Amino acid sequence: MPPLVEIRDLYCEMITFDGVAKVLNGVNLTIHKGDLLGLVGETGCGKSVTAMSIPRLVPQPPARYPQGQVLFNGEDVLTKNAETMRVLRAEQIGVVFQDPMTGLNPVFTIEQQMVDAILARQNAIGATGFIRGWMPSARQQRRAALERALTLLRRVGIPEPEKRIYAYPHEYSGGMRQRVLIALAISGQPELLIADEPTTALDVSVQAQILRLIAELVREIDLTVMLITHNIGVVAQLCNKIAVMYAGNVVESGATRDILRNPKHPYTRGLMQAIPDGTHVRGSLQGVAGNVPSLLDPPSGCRFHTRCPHVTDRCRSAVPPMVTVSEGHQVACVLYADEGAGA
Amino acid sequence: MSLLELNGLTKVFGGRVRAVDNVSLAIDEGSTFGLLGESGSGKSTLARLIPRLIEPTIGEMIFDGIALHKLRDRDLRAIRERIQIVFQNPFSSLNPRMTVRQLIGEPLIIYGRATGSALDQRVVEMMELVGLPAEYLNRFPHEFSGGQRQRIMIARALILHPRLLILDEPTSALDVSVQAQVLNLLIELQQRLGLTYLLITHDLSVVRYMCDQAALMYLGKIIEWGTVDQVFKSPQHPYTQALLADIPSTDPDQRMLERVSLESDIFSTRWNGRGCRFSPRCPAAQIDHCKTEDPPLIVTANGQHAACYLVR
Repeated sequence: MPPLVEIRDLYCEMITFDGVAKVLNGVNLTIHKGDLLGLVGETGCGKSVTAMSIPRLVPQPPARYPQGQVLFNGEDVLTKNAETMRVLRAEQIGVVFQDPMTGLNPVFTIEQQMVDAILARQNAIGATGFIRGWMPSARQQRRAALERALTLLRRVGIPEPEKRIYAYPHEYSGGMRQRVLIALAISGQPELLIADEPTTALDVSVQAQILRLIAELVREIDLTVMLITHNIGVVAQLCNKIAVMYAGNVVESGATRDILRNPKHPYTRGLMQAIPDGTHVRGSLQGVAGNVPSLLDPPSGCRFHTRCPHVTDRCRSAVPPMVTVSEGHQVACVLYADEGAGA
Repeated sequence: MSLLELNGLTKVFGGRVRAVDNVSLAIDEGSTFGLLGESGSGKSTLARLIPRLIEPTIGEMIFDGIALHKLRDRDLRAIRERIQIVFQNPFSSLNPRMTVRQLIGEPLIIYGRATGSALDQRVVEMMELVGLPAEYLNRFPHEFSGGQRQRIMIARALILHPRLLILDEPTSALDVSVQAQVLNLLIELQQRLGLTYLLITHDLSVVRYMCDQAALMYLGKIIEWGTVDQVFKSPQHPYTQALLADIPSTDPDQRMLERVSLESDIFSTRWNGRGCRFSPRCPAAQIDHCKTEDPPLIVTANGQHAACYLVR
């Protein structure tokens, strides 16, 4: 069976006032059905662009894809027309965005927004459904969509949905809004759920609730999840696989346990050492020295070489290939170039 | 000796929202005090009460022997030189039309402390202190990364030589790798300049890394207070215990999601104003008292403070 998502050697550029930013630099990423993949990296490393390339939600222009493929169920979404993409998004991909404050429209009730979204999704896939052989009236359709919305709200843990659905977004807390957005994302029973920093704006106890909810949904409705985050703890708790991105490249990928227990890439190691986890004496956190490079003029060779403690001449001249260091664990660094077979 | 003491500090908004409710605490000179709480717990209101950016409704604030709550405007202005705040968001707290020179030097101009080349010299000294190259003097905020902007904020706060620095979520807008740099800078500056910090954050890990003392706020009230070791190793209040259990561990074998902890959230849970404010969400066995009387902050057997009837 082919993987659900296979991103092959994807390049992405963004046209800005200051020049062309080389946002993705040959990204390779595979997501199998049933995976819970955590995509981690710093702000601006290209994690959102990579993920949003799958439902093709990156606006073109400013973005363009000079090279590469994004295969979803074996088909390249970059070559599809707008209508095909609309159907694909409606049927197969759900997205939860980062900020639950801006993900909902403040001037409409939750009911209006959910019903509209559910109907739009049904229209896109032509599944309005006949009732006893008759095409349902617009009113009947809305009523059916409302029922569906209530079922979804109940599922994501909104108390008293029959009442709460008529409230406006500002009457919901951040956690509750995020639940509504998750309900919308799963309303079309998608195969893939992309969650872009779903808990970053939330408090730790609410974050734990949302992560629990995602874990339950995965078990119940057979979801494949791509979780974008910069919180390694969130990935450790929720995901079975990790891909670490730096400045437009996937620099390390593998099973969660392998990567967190035995990080190979100097960047992954730096990132792990930057997290205060209770074992650090004051002043002993390491962090990653230096700053994220400009993507307008990215460093030659390995893009991490400007900050890497193990930099050699080889790093400055050539992009290190992905090598397999153990089963399923790949790293793009010359330190391991001689260890495994190129991949 | 404590540099700052708060006694029964209360702020009521609009006659009914008790954003800060009878808060008493003491911060030792040269130490770092961590104030923890979820959004909506009142911690940022408390930060703004201390230099009287907003006026307290009632209560005492003693800074270095001076009663802040009694000061008139002119004296208040003088004391604010000694109490500075670094705000949360380095993207919105810096005027985009001012250069680094103007941003860092502005406090000196406002207080009439320096002009001309003396001013520039002080600004460059501050930039070096916080790790910004002096050649960035004429750049604008948009030319800097989040971490560098927070360094500008810190330089701006320190240029008046304050004794107390209030840090309101100083790193929550930053990536972890940058957060580590900023936290280490703050530690280094404290050692070098003998600063006292009040660090306000929702990030428990940051408090554990940075602070000597830690207090937790819930709906305006301090519900637990102790040394960092006490609070993190033997949390007394059910709320503290639940929060600590909800920090996602970076160890994949420490499974957190299978456990059930706090339900609902600080906003959706109605507290009717009577009894313990945490009681509607409290997972611990509840006694009748919890619903009817507000538990006082008592000193426990091992010397930490907790406001819960289940704690002895």
